[in-house]
Amino acid sequence: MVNGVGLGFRREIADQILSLEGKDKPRFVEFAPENWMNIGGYWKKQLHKVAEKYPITTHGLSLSIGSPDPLDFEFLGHLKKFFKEIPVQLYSEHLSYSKCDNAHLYDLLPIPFREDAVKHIVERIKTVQDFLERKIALENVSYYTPIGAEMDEATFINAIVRESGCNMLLDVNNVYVNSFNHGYDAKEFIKKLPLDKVAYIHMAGHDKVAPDLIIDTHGAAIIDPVFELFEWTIDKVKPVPVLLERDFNFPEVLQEVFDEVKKLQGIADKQWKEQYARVEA
Amino acid sequence: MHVLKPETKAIQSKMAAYCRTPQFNDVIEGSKPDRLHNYRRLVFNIIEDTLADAYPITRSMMNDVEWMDMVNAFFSKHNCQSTQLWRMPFELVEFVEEDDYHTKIGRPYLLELLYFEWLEIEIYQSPDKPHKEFKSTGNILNDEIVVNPDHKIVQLSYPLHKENYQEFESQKGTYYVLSYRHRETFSVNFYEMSPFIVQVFTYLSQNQTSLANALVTVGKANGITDENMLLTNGKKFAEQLLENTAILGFAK
Repeated sequence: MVNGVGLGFRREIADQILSLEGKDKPRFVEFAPENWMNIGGYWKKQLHKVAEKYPITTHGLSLSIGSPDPLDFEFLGHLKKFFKEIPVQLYSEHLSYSKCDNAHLYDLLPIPFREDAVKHIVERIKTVQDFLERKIALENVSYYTPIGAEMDEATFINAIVRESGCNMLLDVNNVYVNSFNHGYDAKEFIKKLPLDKVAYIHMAGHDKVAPDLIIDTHGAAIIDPVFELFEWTIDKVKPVPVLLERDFNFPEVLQEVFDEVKKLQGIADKQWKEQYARVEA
Repeated sequence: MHVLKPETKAIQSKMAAYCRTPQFNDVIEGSKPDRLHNYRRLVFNIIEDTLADAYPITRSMMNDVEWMDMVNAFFSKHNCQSTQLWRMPFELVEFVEEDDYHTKIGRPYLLELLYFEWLEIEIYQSPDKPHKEFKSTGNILNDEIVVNPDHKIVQLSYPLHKENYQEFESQKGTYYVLSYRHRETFSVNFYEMSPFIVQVFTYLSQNQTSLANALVTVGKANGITDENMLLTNGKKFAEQLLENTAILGFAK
């Protein structure tokens, strides 16, 4: 199973990632299957190159697990076929919705934290896992306003993960962003999550656009408080793969991004050294 | 089993409608009104950025108001179906055609221009089509030709394949353009063809045959009996296409 710290495989930096060797290589790469399935030509060739060189994880965009619309089985069929073509070790998605009233919006909208939404999503997760014949890991998303909430976010996430049997992708930056935007304690929030079900961790940068608002952009370097929250968090979970998400606004010297990967790896190694040894044994 | 309550579904529908429609201002239960606008902006930016990247020529030919009006009309009226964001821009072509948007805004070439720009994305990125095994050397006239399958031939009313976009409106006519993905560089190339050559190329791509046979067959169908002229001119065009990988080579 993939472990260590990986990096998002984006087309803007694909050549550089493919040319990395030795200690400079991230342990794995992640991409959105929607951006790479059912394609041909140049990028298909690059896809196969990266799959030969790195372990692969994927982070989906269009499943829309929290949607009131029916599941899209044609899309799931394409995913399943893609996972047979490319050796994807882990498939994760967002605990949000991006399709509604038969229209995709291509962004992550917040789900009402409600009991009926929990039941609805649990059923859908089970269906998806059965169809794909693999577990999925669902990510806690950043959100800028709740809508129609009747319970708190941690209770909502816990209920979904526990009742569906799926794994959790813990996005530490999203916890930081939400705790800032909604005025709660990030560590207290993390303590309430189903930490035994965390199978994957995401780290990223963000942009503070107003004194009281951070937008989760994946377009900046990780700030120190998020590194600190990461270090605090991983002490409480078993060793899992960690991904640095950087989607755009790449620095002129890309080494800065690779150095962030190394910094995360250093923190993970320090915290998980003994646990890694046990897992590998 | 429907476990989602209608009131929960209604909240989600309102949220989506709010993001898609600038005029939608219904109260969304339990939301922070001073934060909602971030969703409208973020969602719209994804749509607008993706369309602007897909249609750089169209974008450059429209002023900001025209462009934003079109993107807003598209996103609020059209239900995007593609699960892959890179394919979404083709739905703008469908929307403009169904809504007759190009006529409404007095830009009759808009539909064709959008389609032409989309074609480059589609040819560049679409799944590789299967083709017969081929060798790169052979007798150009008499050996079976293997056509590059990653191609499309389009009939245009404006010379959109030429680079002077500012003048194409005055050059309305009929143009046949072969668009294909270069085998080695993967770039998308455009090649203007005569109606006769279009027929020959199409014949070659649909039949396992030689260039000479395609030329003579299509020539006969068009009442052309001068075989020497056909073979001489046809050979020149085929050699060019072979060099540019629109023809891959000769069947093994």
